Amino acid sequence: MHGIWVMLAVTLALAGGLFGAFLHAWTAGERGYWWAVAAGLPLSAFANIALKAPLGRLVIGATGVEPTLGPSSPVWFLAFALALAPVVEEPVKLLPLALPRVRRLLALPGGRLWTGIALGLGFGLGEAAYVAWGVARAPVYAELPWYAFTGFLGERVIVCLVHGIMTATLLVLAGRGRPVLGVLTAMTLHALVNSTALLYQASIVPMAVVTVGFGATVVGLALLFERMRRAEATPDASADVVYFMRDDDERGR
Amino acid sequence: MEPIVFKPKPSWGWVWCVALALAVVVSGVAPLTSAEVRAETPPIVWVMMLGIAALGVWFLVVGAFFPAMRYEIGDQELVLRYGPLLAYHLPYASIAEVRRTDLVPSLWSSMRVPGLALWKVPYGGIGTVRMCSTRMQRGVLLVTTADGTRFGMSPAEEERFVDTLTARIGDAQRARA
Repeated sequence: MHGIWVMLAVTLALAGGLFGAFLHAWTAGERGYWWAVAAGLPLSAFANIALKAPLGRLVIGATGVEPTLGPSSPVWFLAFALALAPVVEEPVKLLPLALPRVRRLLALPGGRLWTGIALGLGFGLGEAAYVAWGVARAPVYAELPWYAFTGFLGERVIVCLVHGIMTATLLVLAGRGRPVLGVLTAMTLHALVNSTALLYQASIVPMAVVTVGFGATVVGLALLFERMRRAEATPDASADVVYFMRDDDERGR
Repeated sequence: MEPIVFKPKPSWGWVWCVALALAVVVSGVAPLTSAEVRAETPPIVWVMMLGIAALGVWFLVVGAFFPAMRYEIGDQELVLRYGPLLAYHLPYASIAEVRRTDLVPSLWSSMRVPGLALWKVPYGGIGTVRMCSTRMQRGVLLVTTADGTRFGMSPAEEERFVDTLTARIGDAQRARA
């Protein structure tokens, strides 16, 4: 068996278990979010096979540009390559909202934030499987042991959260009456996350830039998530049980 | 007088510690078992791997002390203890409020996994809580001191724990009066 399948299993277990547990905790066990996760699973394969690949072939066929990215690639083609994933994937991630069971989640407290996280988590898990499928088909990786794919593990686990934050940003802004800004922000964030990897692929920047750039972007997205979470999810003290409270006179002594 | 000892509610928090240790080892150290990878590994990566291995060991140590979590109600103070790794001392005279509540977790954490929360953990709306609990979010017993410091815990016999604690707080109040 190809080593990537073992690492895919580890990746799905870790990302699904970790973020799934936090989603469960954050949403007080609302099971509806699992429908959003499940609905997002096949969407990466759909976006890549049914949309991005034909679009790429169309542009390359029409212009005759060399499809392999490199320092000599025209700027417009680099821009096209950078925009392709955000422009296609961000709207595709919203497709499960066509399901009433998923759409009703938006009305729950903090629902836009957690629905976005759930949709992105599902998309990210599916994307991990899609990327693994691509790796398994490449002969150059066939002889590598499973533990040689730890880069895949780290990247894909983080990307699950990143996809969630981007979709959550879109839905939260849409909920505040600014859907266009939401879509543009999500696409820009997505392009930012992919930008250093694309420049590395084109042999324009070294790997160190990719590592630093990706890390900085992820930290920035995590800060953005915390900001949204504080705004959307406020603690509910209505179910609190107060066992003891010292009166103010006692406190002041 | 010997303190009255209360155990925490049961949880699978230790399993998360073991899983995190395994994940760290798999992602960071396992590649170095390959001779090909070792040959191409620069010294700085070895140093990083040592750090990662130490992190894995740390998670295992935290998991190993899971059975040692306890809450001790003594003569003068409540002590939250996690083996030798953690001990919070709360004098009864300093306790201002005891409340059972649901916390809102944030993304940042010193040590918080489902079923286990330790040390200073930031929570939404109320800020940092010093945790020694087998519940990271729901049904946490929150003790607030007069200076506003919050402590989170999850005693198994919550009613008996609260009764004993509030009785001791009352004794301390009467002694001060």
